[in-house]
Amino acid sequence: MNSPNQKRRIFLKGVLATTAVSSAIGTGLAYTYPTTKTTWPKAAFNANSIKKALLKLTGDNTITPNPGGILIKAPAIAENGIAHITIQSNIERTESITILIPNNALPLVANFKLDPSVTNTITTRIKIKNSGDIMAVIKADNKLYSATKKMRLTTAK
Amino acid sequence: MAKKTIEVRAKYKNGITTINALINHPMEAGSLIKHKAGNVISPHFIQEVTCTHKETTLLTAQWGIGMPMNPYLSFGFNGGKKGEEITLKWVDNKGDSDAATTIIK
Repeated sequence: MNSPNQKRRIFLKGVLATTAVSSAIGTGLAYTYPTTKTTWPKAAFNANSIKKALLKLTGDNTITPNPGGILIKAPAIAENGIAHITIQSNIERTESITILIPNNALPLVANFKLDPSVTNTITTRIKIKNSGDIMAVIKADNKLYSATKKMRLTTAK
Repeated sequence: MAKKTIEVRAKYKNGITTINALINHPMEAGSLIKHKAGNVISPHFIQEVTCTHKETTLLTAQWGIGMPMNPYLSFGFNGGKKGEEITLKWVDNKGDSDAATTIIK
């Protein structure tokens, strides 16, 4: 009865059923991250606004703009949706550097927690989906400081 | 993972050690769009990267789906000596992980 072919059929049925259910859930709800068991701040990455994301991440969302203390080096035009960016914090006792893109559905991109010996400069690459601002938030002495930089997106075709 | 995924280098100059790392990872953001085959692309991305030197965690990076494929990371720290070890480790949302150790040059 249970020939390999039949087993395969049963397996395929199961797969189709589960995907149908998950897609049905997906259409009704906004996109959310899957659950995992790490110290990864899921609630912050799932937040749909900057204020919510920062509140979940740091427990605070009062941001003081400090364009002089934070330097964002990024190209004015992001080609092919990827930008190479450098964030330099001149604020003393910097504890963490957070990169946010306000235009994204899920604005929190990355959070870097730094040891006091680190030179407060981070270089990385991020995805740019739309033209708009990039925001860097620095946490120092339990206060949040921010700076933004405008970027334009072009796609080569 | 059998294949080496981390390319990490550390260089000491004028009291600062600079670490450059490139990780080979799809960083799939996932999609709920139904494809022809009826399947859904599930997200697969690195959630946490840690860099350690002499049992001190220099940096903990927490990443979301806004990071691109094959992410790059560079930073420096005060201290370090030529010949000391730097370890970089990543963990993704499917529980996969990899670690690499390099010697400061």
